[in-house]
Amino acid sequence: MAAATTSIARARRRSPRGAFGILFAPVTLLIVFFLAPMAIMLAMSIVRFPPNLSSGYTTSHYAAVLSDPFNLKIAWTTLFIGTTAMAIMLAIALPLAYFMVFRAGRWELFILLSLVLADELAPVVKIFAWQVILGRQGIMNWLIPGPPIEWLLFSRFAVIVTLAATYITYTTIPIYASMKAIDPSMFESAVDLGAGWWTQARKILIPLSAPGIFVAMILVYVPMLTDFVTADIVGGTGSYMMGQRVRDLILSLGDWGAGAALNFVLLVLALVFSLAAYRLGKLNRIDR
Amino acid sequence: MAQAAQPAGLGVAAPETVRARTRRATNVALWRGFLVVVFLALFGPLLILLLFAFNDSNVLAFPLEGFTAHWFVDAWRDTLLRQALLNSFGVAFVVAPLCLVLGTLAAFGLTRFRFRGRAAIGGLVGAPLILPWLVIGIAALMAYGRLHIALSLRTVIASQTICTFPLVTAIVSAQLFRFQRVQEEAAIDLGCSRLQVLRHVILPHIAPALAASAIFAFTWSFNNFEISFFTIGFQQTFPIWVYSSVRNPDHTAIVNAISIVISVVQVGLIYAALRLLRRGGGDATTAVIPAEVFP
Amino acid sequence: MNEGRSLNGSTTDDAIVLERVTKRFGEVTAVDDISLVIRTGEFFSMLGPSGCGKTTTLRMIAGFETPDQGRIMLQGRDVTVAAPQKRNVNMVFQSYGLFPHMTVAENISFGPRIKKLGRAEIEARVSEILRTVRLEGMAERRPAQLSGGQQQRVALARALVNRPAALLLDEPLGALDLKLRKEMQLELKDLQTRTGTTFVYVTHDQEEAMTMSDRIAVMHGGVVEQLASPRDLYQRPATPFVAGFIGTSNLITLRFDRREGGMVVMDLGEGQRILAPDPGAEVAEALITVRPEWIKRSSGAVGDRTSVVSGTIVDVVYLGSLTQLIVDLPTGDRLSVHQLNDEVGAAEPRPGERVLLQWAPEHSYVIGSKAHLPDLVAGAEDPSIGSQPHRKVGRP
Repeated sequence: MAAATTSIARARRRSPRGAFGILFAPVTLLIVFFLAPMAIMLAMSIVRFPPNLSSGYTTSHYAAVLSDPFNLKIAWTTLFIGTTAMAIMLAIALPLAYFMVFRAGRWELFILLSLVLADELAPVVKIFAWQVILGRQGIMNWLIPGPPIEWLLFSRFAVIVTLAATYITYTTIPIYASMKAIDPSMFESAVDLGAGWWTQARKILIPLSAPGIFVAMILVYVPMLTDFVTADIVGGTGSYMMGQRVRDLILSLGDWGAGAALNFVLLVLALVFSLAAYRLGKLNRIDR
Repeated sequence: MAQAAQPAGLGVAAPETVRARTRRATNVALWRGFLVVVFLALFGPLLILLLFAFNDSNVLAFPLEGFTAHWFVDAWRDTLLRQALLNSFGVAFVVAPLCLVLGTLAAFGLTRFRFRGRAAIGGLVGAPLILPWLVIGIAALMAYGRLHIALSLRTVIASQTICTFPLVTAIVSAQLFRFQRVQEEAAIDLGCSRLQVLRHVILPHIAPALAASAIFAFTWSFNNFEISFFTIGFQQTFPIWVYSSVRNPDHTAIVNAISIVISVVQVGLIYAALRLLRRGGGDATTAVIPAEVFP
Repeated sequence: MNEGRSLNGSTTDDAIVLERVTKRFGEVTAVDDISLVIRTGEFFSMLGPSGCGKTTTLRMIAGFETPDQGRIMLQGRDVTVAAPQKRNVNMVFQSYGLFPHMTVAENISFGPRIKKLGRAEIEARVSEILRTVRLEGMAERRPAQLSGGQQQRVALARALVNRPAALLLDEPLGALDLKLRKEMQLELKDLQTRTGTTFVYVTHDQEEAMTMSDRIAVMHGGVVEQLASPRDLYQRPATPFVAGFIGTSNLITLRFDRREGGMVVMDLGEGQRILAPDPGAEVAEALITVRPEWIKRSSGAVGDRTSVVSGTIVDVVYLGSLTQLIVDLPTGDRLSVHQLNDEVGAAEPRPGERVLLQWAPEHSYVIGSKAHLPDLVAGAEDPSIGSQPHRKVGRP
């Protein structure tokens, strides 16, 4: 038998060509309905008024939007509200996730299901309900003796509370998922070495749940910052948020240039934030 | 399976001192209290709505008046509301299958092939879930405006589909990812062509995930507000109807009543979807999170 | 060292032939220019540590990997580039790959159903194979309801029902506990003998390979170090790696101080020496191996043609039927000595004691040499190539 030394060139079955065929539809549609509008919006933000390509280009919209003190004040309010709500949610989600993973036993699944179910109700409906809860004649005022507390509703407080209640599910679940990956024997060795519960939390639990915390922030922080529905329904003048501002610029004031510019700024911030959180989250990751 | 992570000082081996026992009791009480607060925050809104749906007063306030069910009848009679509901159902019935197809294609394309731009495409697919819908909605509005495309239910369907199919991709990818390649090789070894492998081995495996994602996509579309708000013309979908009715005192009770009905139905649907995911494999429930989109 | 080719070159007896097959994954050469001949009806094993290329070779035979160079022939047909579906071999995977949504019967009948055999034929085959693997009555169960051993047998049945030319097994017993593994080893050997199917078995467990195989290819770093029967591998390892991998190795570096009477001798002073059959090569030293069971404790009264050496006991391991002594020699080598515990009331050796050891010079084997040893089956061929006459019966 002659020794065969010719090399064999054979198309691998998993060729990239197959991927191209399958991904063609989704990717094309994404480009058409997702990327293209972004590009158009970007164009709108650098075009002089009236919004026509022949009007010439300008960065004046960005200059106007970024230097407007009104916008800056709104940005500050938005950050305040969003960050406070985020902090509250993390303060609740971490113990909740911990409980679910390590203490709940049979109830773990029930709590998880409840979280997901509670979230699937139409957000508008939920926000509407919070209006009822926090109102002058709502259940909170009904329970608390004395004259009705005005600032429960149509205030920053209301927006913060409602946001927190609405997004708690998507804050808890990623943290829960990453806590599940923690090997419980780590706590046992920590106890063995004399660590109290706070030390364990600080040195083991939180660092190892960091990936989940970052994912939670990606999923939740930016949507909260750009929210306008909640602020519309339960917020007041003191809680005017960036989402409302963008919407008003475009729909009420018709200033598409400024609106597009502001919108694009929000887009960039959202991207930067997501990428940063994603990178940071990967540093600590336990690969299952 | 309960995993015990006992912080030091609690649950120490016998004999238990009185102090240890009280400390444990306090602990348990604290946890219970905490859970109660959380559950109230989660389901409070729903319960409130439920309560007032039967309250004989147009003002959603305490104290409660008599018991009545006439709000449900009024809701049914409201033509605007009926139209909004029909629109929402109609849109969702179109969006859900579209998302299922697109999402599954993307899931297969991303998990079963290796090619150079994979991370980028994965990021693109995941983007609509990560980027704020306000931004996407406004961009869509501007795009339709500039291209002189009239806003209508069709534009709503288009934009909603783009923002929702990544969810299907996430759920189906998670299931595909957990799929044992061995079974595929075994099927090939036993004589299956690629198509037969798909039919006999892969599809039965991901069937629960497919069904569940269809339900999720349907619900997301039905409940969608931001995207619909910016891309709809003169009609309304249900969430938009609720939004516009909120300021109208005459409508509050009706809003309440119908919201309860819709919510109950949705809870039922989602529960069914979650059961399906459970059947597909223990941790499939966490696949609901778009976090799985990250490779 | 690389060849497993039958000397007479006949192909009618060969189920599978690999000719100069090479497979690379990026920078790594997993399989390096190997050639093998696997005979019809034999239990053939590929044995080696992780990463030696045995699984890759198996997968190339199955068709899940394509060689970069070389040819693969199945029953005389060149199947190098043929798809797995087109080859008449079936594989039993390490993790079984049973279809969870099908019953046992549906799993087993899957192959025949794909081939569109008639319903009566399928039913007949399935019942027959269920009987063969002793799983009658389990037909309607699902894999999740079966034990590990039962799942394993379903995987076997699912492959065998197709009556393949060869059955490829990729470490199928890895997931089972020790007792079950041993039982299954005997069952597998019995199954192979009864059905007469060619088995190609991959494992890293040398005891497993030795128990079941007619011939074993010991692989390391992508090459076949030696291809021989279990007996030859044990008694006449071709390389130090094989000597170390199979059984307990006692390796001694033998300095050729003098040659006499067909032996080479290393003198150690004080009347001690180590002998080995002269390999005939022009070398000054060589590596030899002595199996532990051939080394005995010596009284010192031995002739000139006996290896005798004194050492210090480093460790004593009681293994039930025998005691293993670990002894350090003045040459710097460490020996393992097996003593049968067949003397009642014998004194227990203790670490630290000095002991005198002896063994017959013929029991020193110069690794890789072609020396004949007296205890071989008469008329056997050159051991380092290892083409034993084809046997159908199990090991004696």
